[in-house]
Amino acid sequence: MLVWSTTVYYELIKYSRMRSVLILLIGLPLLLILLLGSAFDTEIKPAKVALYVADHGEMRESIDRLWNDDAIKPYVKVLDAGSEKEVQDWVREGIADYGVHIPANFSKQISAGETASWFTYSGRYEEKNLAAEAVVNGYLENANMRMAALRTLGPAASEAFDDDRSSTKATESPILTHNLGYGDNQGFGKTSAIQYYSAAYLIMFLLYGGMSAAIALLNQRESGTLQRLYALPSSFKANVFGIIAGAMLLAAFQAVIIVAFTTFVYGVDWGGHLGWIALICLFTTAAGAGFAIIVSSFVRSKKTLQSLFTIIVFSMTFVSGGMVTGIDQMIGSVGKFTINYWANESLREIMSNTGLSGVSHHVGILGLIALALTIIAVIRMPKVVKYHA
Amino acid sequence: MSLVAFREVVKKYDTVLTVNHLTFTIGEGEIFGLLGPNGAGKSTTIHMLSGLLNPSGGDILVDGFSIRKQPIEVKKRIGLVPQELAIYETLTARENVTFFAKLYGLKGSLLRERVDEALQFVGLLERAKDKPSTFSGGMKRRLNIACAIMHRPKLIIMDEPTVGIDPQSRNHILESVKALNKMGSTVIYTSHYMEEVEAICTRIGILDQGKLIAVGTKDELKRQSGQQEKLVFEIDRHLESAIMEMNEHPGVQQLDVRDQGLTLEVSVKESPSILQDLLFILQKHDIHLRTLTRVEPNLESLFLQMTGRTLRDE
Amino acid sequence: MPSLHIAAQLIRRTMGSRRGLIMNVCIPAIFLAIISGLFSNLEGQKAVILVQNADSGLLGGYLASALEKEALYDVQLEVKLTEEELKNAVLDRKADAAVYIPEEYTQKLLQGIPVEAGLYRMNEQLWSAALETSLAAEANKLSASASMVRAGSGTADLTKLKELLDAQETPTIVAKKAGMKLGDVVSNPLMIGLILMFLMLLASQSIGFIMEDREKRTMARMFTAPLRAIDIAIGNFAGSMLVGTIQLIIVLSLTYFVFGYSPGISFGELLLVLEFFLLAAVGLASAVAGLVRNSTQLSQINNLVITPTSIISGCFFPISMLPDFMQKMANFTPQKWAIQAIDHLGGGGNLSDIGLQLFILLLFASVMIAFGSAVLRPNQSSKS
Repeated sequence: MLVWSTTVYYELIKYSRMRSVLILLIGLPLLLILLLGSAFDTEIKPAKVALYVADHGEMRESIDRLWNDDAIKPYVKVLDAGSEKEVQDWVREGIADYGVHIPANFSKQISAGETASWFTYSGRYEEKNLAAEAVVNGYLENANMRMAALRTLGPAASEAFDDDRSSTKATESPILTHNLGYGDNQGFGKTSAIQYYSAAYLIMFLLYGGMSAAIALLNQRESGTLQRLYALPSSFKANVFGIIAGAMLLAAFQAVIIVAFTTFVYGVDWGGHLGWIALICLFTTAAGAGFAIIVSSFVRSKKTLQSLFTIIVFSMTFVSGGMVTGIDQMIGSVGKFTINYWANESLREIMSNTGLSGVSHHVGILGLIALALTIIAVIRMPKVVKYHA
Repeated sequence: MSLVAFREVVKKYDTVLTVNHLTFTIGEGEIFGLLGPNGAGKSTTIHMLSGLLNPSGGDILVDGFSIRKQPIEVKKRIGLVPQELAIYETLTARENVTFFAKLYGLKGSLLRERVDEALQFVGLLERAKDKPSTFSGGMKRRLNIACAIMHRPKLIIMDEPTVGIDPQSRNHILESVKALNKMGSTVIYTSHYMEEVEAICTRIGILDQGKLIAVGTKDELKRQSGQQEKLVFEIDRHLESAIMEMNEHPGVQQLDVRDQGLTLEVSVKESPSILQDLLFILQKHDIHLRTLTRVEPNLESLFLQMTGRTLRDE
Repeated sequence: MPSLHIAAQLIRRTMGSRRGLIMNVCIPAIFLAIISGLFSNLEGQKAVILVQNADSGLLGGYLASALEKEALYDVQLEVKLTEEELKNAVLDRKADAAVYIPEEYTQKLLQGIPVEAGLYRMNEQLWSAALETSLAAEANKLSASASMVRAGSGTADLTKLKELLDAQETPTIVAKKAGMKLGDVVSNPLMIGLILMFLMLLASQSIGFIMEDREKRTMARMFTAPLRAIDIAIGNFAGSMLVGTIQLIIVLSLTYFVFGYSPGISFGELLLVLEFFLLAAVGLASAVAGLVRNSTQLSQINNLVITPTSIISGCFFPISMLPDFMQKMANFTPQKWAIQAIDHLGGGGNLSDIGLQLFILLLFASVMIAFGSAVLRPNQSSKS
């Protein structure tokens, strides 16, 4: 009993001195959660439209009304350009997402009944082009309608329309929109972006944390201190267990910090059920540690373990949608073969408060994975810790 | 003519003088042992000589070239065997030596010839295609040497080349040093193993606190230190009067009685007949001599006397 | 000349072994190839919009067909679903949005009774907001047209209405899309972004080798050879560049010629920009190396630098998705300028158009290398 707790204690002291490791294991996930969470947050980022209106004719008033309309503000942000060339440059440089140039003779052409046009410059982002085009087309179609009415029905109808419009303006939108989603973005399912990434990166870095168990063992073997432990008049297994338990505690510390920090600083709702979350973290860490020990029983060098395991964790995170959402639509259910998938799903179900039955199912499978990996790791352990295995 | 001349060499770190106005010369063909406790400035001195550090003051001449003004010329004449195993684990022994040989400007058939020669010299030619990661400690040490001699330097600096190796490798290395010296190289050799230095060095310098506190051949050092040889008598019975009588002999400087009076340690001054006189006194008192040993002062005791016995932890 | 040996040495250590070849060349190339394969399918995915027109009259058809003008929507008319089924199709992600045009839509419009068409979507995003705006504009137009006809003739005269609507089909006022040739790298950066990230990892690795040289004192040994310090510096930096270049050429050739990915610019131009970027990456890695004590720490800190800067500089998703202050921060990352340069080239620009970007990369490199040249001091103690 005493033996392994001594080992754990000194393992923890060693970890506390590895500042860059701690930054990597705790700081990096927090940073990534912040970056990705804010990149994909709820807020719609309006399309920036570079606008140059050269026309000062009678249409100018309605044009100004269009672009200053509060209703379009959430979708379109107008940047006033000084010339047609500036509009083009801004779109090319990416300062603006879309460009509109209204030529000087626009009003004149309209009153003459000629074909009139605006010049638009589509930018890089289809979505933003769509938003800007919807605004432009809305105006132009309206103008068209009046021109058509003038031609087919005569001037009276057009005037009547003006009266009519002023009275109907206050009415509701002719489209009844139903938002069916729960969160911000389809890709994130029922959780918000920051919840989604909080879960993904907690799991990813817990797997890394699990790797520190294998690294600690290899380090001790390479520096020879493991040999010293062999020579101690106490159970070697207890010592090895202590080293691994130290890494598990480090991971627990990681989990506590990440969950607490995201809760209180980023305002992430983890959905309560801390016991379940702790269990998920434990299983994930155990699976990560087991996996890393299995890998190191084959490669037996710290450097190779690090690069190989990093690739594995990175790929598992990627495949399970931790980097690009909706990847399951492209690669099918490959994600289900990763540790991350089961852990992420469990966490997200807790976050979205959809009942614990689904959670226990996912956690159960996660637990089975962890158990299997742990058993294999125990079998392969001699290859890791013995000098002459 | 001297090959290496230190002239008022100073190295300061902040305000600390690590090397304090060092002035001495090493002649061509010498094996010069440089000794000193930890932190005495040995490594700094060697690093300045090999161009890794710039002196804060003074100059070092090697073969007439100044390390400050013509470092390239100096470096061409030097081969450094660093204390650390400065070899690439992922390259084979031959690749290691070849790489450094290329840096010294060797090429073509001369390159191959010299690389073979160096590997042959350290006894690694058969293992030339293997990586150092498969080598024993001694083999790595030998490779470490091979990487410093393939350009046939006039001056070879060996910074503790025998740390942590088996007696066979150590012996091989010591023999190599002598062989290199015979082939015309001057050697500067540092080590904490006094008996090594004693065995191979023609001249020894002792460095402490950045200063050379003693320099000379082993005998010269002994004379400087004032340490003398001792005669140790083991006798069959203790007799106070006999000891008193011996103590009164003018050639006896000090007499220590040990082992309940059965062992007498006598420090003696230069005196032609002293051994005979002392034996006579013993015989007179009917004391039988069991053994008689003559103990010469060794480098280790000299070293400890000169640099003190306190621990040096840098 | 001696610099060359040092450079060659670095190359051999990175790629000379089987392990190096696999880890540093094959795996990245295959990884990039898989990614490019995956994401080329993703591109051009259109939003699927189901439209159920339950209206028997004239106007419902106009509303439905209005959406078809937009090329980015995959509009499926006549799906024969109830409103509830439409809703479920969206919920099950079978469609991205659904529009339901109610019965008697035309009739009610003609009579001036307010009537609403239903739009189902998961949530409000820019594209679905645009969809809503377009639908609303069309519906407003229809109701306005109807009311004009009613006002003109007193009754809802269908022939007149049709005449009016058809007149609108050939508009006299149009938006002329000026052909702007823009690159698609900024908006779709993943492939290039991953290559940039790969280059940064590579640079970090070769600088790591240099640090290892320092720790293992082989660098000290180099300094005792008859070389000038500048020879060693050039050898090491040139070696890092060469290692990067060789790997880059292999990886690019594989993706270009074997897997058939091309970002729309020529191999040579892309290589040129990436060379400038590589220089900046080597500089950045060496500057980081100057701050840390040993090569293990270097790789850890580099991960810490590379991943976040890649995110904010738009290597993974368009930079415009980020909050404004992060977009400004991106100006201090070399990735952003490389992406912009490649984007300009992809948009038909030539080398003179990206002078600014290349200059910034060069500036970045020189500042960072000045910081990082400390890594080459052999005697800096590297005790951990």
